[in-house]
Amino acid sequence: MSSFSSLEIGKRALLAQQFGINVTNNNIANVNTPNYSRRTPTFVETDPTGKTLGQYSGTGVTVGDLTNYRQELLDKELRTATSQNKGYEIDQNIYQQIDAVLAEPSDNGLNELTTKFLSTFNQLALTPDDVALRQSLLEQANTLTAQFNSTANGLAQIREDSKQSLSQVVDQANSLIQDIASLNTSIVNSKPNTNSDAQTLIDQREGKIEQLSQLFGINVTYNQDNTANIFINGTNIITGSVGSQIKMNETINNVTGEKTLQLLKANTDNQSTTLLNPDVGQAANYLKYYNVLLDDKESSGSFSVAKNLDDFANALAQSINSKVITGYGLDDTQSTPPGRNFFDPSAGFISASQIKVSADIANNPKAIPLSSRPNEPGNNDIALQLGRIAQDQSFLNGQTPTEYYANFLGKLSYATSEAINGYNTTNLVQQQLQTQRDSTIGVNLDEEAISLIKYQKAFEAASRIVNTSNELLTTIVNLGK
Amino acid sequence: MRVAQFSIIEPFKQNLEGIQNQLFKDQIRMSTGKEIVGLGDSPDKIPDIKKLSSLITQNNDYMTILDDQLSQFQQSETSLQGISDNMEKIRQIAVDGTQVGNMGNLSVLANYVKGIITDIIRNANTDYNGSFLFAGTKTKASSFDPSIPNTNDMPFELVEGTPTNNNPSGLQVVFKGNQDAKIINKDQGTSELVNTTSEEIFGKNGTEAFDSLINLYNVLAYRSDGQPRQSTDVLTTDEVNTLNKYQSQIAGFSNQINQVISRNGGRSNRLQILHDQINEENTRLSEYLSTKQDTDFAKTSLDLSKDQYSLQYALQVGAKTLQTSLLDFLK
Repeated sequence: MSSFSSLEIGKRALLAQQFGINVTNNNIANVNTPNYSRRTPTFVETDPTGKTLGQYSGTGVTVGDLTNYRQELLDKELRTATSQNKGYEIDQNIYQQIDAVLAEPSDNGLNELTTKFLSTFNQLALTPDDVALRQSLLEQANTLTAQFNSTANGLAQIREDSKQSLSQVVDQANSLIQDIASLNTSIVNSKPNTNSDAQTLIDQREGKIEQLSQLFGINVTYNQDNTANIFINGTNIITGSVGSQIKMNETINNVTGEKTLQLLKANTDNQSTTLLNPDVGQAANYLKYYNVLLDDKESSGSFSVAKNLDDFANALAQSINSKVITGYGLDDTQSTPPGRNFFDPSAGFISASQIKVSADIANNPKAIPLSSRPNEPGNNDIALQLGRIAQDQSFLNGQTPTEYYANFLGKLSYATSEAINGYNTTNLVQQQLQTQRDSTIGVNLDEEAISLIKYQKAFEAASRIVNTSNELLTTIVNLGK
Repeated sequence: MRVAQFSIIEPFKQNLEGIQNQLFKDQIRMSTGKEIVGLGDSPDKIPDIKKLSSLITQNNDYMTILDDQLSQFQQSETSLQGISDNMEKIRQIAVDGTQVGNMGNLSVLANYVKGIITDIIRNANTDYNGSFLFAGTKTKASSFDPSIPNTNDMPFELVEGTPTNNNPSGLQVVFKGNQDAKIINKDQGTSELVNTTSEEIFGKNGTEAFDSLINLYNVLAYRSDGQPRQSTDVLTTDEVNTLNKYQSQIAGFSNQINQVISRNGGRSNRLQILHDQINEENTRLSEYLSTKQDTDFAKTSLDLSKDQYSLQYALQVGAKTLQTSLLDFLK
């Protein structure tokens, strides 16, 4: 062992402790970086060289490896919880928007307006020739139809917003898929011995995968070369460095006019596509809103707010029109009924967005047909029947108007509650998993401060080695003087 | 468990958000007085609340209808009472006409009778808020044709036709309405017939009573040869008998009207009782609705205070937890 060996040991120690300080600094610097996995250097003794005085005294220290604490199981659990949580978060927002559009719960919602409107027919049965009361009925009808229209338009707007949001989700997902595939390539290309590079890339990729899990429920498998494959409900969208693009497609049923959105995976031949059926995450929920919950032509039998509202408006309009069409207004003297409707459109399904007071009566309250015979202003036969619609058990699906609307609101209320509860529950689970994972990979500033002191002290000691070696060498050099 | 910086900050943020949300809801509950401020708050209560509030609204409207109908009954009763009283007056005049001392005033009595008949017709043409009460479903003037022999657009009209042996005055009362029933929906499931037809008041075709009244008038105003009476005229025995016959017929119609008044009174009582029942039902329903949807102010007030304290403590603890680390103590 030469006299310079001590200097070499000192140098190695300085470099190793410096490296430790740098890693600690990096940990502290990334204390708030999402998905950053803290690292700690592992020091190893350098290989021995020759014996001195018949013994090995050692050659110093070097950095053996960088330990990172990322655990695949926790990442996977967190991704699953994130997908569910984001789905419920969107659910909660959408249902709150629907509540706002329906103006429920309130004392002036559609149910109250409908009840008041139908009750007025009973009052008119008492005084069918009261023109002022007839005018009041028209005003109530106008208010009711305006409420139907604005509610239906509001729901349609939320549906369109869902489509826009889904389009943004698809763009975001495509960008993430591209990034993840690209990071997979970079991870493969990173030098095998410089694990820090690979770890940074892996952290970045995990961050991207986690973002993707907010959009879709995904499954991730890892290859031996550290690349990741990603599946959406069984369909492979990333294989190593190859990522597929997702496309949004809208189909229209020629018979019913029902519009349906689909998500398709563009296959590598760029011609064929595979249908994606996301089950959780934002995309799955936006698809559900557009294709079912807010679809006014929903045909699968699932609960649709828009269709329920349309059915309600149609049942109300048809039940009134079917009775007034045979009636006579105050000034009608001809024997044939004038055939006036109360609500337009006069033919076909009367949707909530289209319903309006018929032009036949809109400006002439006397023309409202409440009499079953001509020239009998006091005849209230039609008004009596209309007044009984409120108690008609066969109004819609074997229920009265109030029962139907109350049950409709009940369903919506349960769905809203489920969304809120689901969000709170999955949020708790996600929070716990996040805490659990952070406790493993997250940075603790106290811990890092201790490490900093530890490396600083070791660095100071190593510098003493260099100093001492220097003094020894000086002594040796001066021996000949 | 190892505690990372993220493990402190993120849960703290979320918990703070939770407390603030809760506080916000408490404030809304206090300001609106409603326990349920969003559809998701209590799904099991929402359908009940909607059904109850509809029922209360409908009941309120039925009470308004009953109130209005009770007023109509009152108006109707006043008119019918007037008609009955006037018939009694005519009967009295008929009795007076048969008294020896009044024999010389027969034409005066006749004119008096004619005036009362006009009053009865005025009563029969009574309207309530512009709708005729005793004309069936022809409740408006526009329903009637004022062409000859009619001169006006009222349901009952006294017209002067061609004199005949049987009717030397030619007077006749025409009824232009109909005998249709008027029914109202009085509550959630039942209906009630509420109008009084002209046949119920005045007999067949709504004019039979008027025929008797005019016949009585004719006996007082005209001799048996059809000539108007002179001041020296006296009633013959046959004429007295005829007068008594008509007087007796009119008594029958007067009784009939009194029966109608009594029947309407019964209806009125029924509707008043129903009104009171609905009112009581609404009181109970409103209380029930209140338990479902209204906020418990005492509880919400306590919740509000509790959440305000929670927020303050959370902020204080958060400020202390977040501000110190070992780095703060290193020089």
